[in-house]
Amino acid sequence: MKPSRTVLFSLLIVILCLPLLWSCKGTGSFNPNQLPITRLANVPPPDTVITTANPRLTLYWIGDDPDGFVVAFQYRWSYRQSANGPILYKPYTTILNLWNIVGGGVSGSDNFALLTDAAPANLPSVYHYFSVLLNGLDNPHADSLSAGDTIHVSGAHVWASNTKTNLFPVHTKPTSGTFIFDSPDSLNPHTFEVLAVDNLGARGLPAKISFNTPRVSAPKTELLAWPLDTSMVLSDPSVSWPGIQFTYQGFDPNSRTLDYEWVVDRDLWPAGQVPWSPFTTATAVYVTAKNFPNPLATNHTFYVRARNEFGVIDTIGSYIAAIYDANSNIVGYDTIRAQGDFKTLYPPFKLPGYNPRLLVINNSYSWPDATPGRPSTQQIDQYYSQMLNNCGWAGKYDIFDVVDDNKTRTYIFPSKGTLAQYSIVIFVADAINCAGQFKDYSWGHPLTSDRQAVLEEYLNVGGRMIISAWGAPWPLNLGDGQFMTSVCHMQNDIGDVDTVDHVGFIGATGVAGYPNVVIDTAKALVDWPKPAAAPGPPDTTWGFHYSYVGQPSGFGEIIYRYVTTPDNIVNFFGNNIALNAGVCGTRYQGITYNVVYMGFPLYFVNCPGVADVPSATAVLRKALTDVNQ
Amino acid sequence: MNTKRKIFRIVAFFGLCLVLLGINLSCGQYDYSSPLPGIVSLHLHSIVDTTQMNFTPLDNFVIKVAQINVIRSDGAQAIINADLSALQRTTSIYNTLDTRARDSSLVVGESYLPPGDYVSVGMLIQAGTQVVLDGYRDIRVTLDPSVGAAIFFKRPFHIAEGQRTTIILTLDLSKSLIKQVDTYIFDPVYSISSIQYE
Repeated sequence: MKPSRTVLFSLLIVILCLPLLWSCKGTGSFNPNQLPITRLANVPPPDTVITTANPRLTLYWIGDDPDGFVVAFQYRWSYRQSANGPILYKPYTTILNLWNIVGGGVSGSDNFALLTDAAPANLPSVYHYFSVLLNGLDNPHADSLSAGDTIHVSGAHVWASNTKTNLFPVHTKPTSGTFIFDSPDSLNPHTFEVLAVDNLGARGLPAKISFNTPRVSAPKTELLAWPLDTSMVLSDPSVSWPGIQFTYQGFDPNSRTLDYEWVVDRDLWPAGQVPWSPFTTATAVYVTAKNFPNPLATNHTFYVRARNEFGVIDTIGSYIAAIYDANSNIVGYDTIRAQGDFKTLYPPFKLPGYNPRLLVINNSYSWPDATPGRPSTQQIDQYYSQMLNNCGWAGKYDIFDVVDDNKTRTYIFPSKGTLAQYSIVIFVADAINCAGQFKDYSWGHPLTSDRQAVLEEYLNVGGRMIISAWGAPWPLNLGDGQFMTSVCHMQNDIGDVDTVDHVGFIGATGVAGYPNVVIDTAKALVDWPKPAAAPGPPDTTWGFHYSYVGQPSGFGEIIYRYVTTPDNIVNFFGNNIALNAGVCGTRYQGITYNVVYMGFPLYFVNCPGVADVPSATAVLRKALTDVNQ
Repeated sequence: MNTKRKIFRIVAFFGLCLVLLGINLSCGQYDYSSPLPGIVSLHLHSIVDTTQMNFTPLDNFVIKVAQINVIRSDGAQAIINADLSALQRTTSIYNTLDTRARDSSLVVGESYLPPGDYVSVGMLIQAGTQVVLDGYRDIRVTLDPSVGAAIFFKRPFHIAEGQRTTIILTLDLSKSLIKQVDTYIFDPVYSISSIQYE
């Protein structure tokens, strides 16, 4: 009997379903996770220990996972604190195996090399957060990482190795690092280990490399520039006095970076309390009296020392350098020092309890055969004494004659130490030597750049000055313009002073509370007639030559305007300009110093209607009030 | 024939009703109303140290205003034009030592705004390169390198429907212009000093 078709069909179904039953019925287990594999590149043959040239070494590694992918690498290395000390290990550092997060590096356009403190089991989720960012990291997070800040991802901290400010980061990619290994001894053994962490958080076996690093030599430091002359000094910098500048540099062929610390009078501070500055990469510094153990002391020593990237500091402070001739032969040796002696002066007028005193610097030409119109130094001294006595300064001023008649008419100038005793200086240049020739407007003792610098330094630390000058800038040798603009606060833009005849000064109109002045004809007319080359008939109102006319500069305010005979004009760069109402006096009231400049000689002017004798006292009184404000 | 015409009339009538019903539905009022706008008026006020400079025709310090935005509490921004008739914002130059700046009457921006709560006024400015004092003293101005072009006057204010809100933007020049030896450094110090609802 043949089986029925129904039976055959049922059997066929059962046979067809049997394989399905076998395959869906699990009786085994999953394959175990295979650990990731890590390999170090650029390593010497096994069992070979190399010695590096310096403690900085760049290492490269790669990792892969047979049944997944690598989410991070972890590394550490061994070191010893001394030759006989135990071998210690740095803690593991974890770097994420990410290549897609843009925003790192100084340029901000490299990929970030991201470090984290996540535990291995948490590393896959941290990795996952970044790896799925198709459009990159959002700007706020990228900015934070670039700035060196830490962000929080999946309960872990994440930060970048290659930030915007780090010129030499340890990592620029996840598979390499430039490390500086601790090297306190002459030879320092290290073993570097790196391992990979896979997508299940499993850590593989570490790849290892052993090597020795040498001890690092210290950098050399040289002080390049510091003040050789005595410097005035204050406790705090100001807008006009930043401090005393020192510049220096260091050398270390092994180090990519150097930073510096400095101190003044290292050996005078209490033991253990030497206030070395914080390390900075700046190669110049401004020092104030606050940096001295005794702000009023005058002799100091500045010390600077460099530190290389390995943390080694130049503690010697000097080195021997060979001196070569033109043929590169050594002809001698020089000691290069990282220290320098300097002298300072804290101005007494800036100290509490100072009683104001005033110094008149008489820089005028001294006529040998004096007349009222061609005065001697003593005549001008006497004139200013009268005015100062009138102003209530009797007994509180001194006069310094630049022309020293006691030394056969040599030209001297007050030192910084002298100036520092006075809270106000009156610079007088009221007589010029133009006997017989109006073009000779020299004093024979110009205000040289050295002397200008002394006055400028006095002002920068808070001095006050009144200037009465006939013909500045020419007789004062101020043609460079610096003194005229920064001190007198007059623009000094006259191109060819020899062709400019600033003629016909017969007085000045006072502005801002200053009294009008006119030439004292009793003194001037006899000895200062009109020049032969002047047009027209002789005229007793011809006035003075070479009274400078310009425009105020900076915060300079107009206090006097030129009054001249009607026809006098000046050829100014090809244009004829009337001198009348030109500016010939300015006032500068700054934050740290004040200056009143009068471009005409007070000795030769009177103030109409003023009862004082001399009547120019009214001008000086107003100027003293202004500089004291 | 008559029956056909009747049917046609009935169909036409109902068709028209349906069309009118559709029109009526589509033109129906929404369940909310759009309010009328309010007006914001921004006035500049300068504070100066009168021992250094003053509100005279001889003193001058200009700022160039390229753009003014107001920021609503939900982050939305609106551009403020120079006046209510303006179609767009153009760069304008204002003298901060104008007498109107002393009196808080120098209008630097005016616009219609949706009613709502606002949190700040943002301004894109460029300071002038010099201060002119007494008509002849040209003092160079340098910008503090840490200062950006955008400044934000932060203080909440409200724009009400159909009402004007006047905001006084105060620039404290006595602190913004830091005097040096012969220059100024510009580091703007500013605030909203008052808000007036009219």
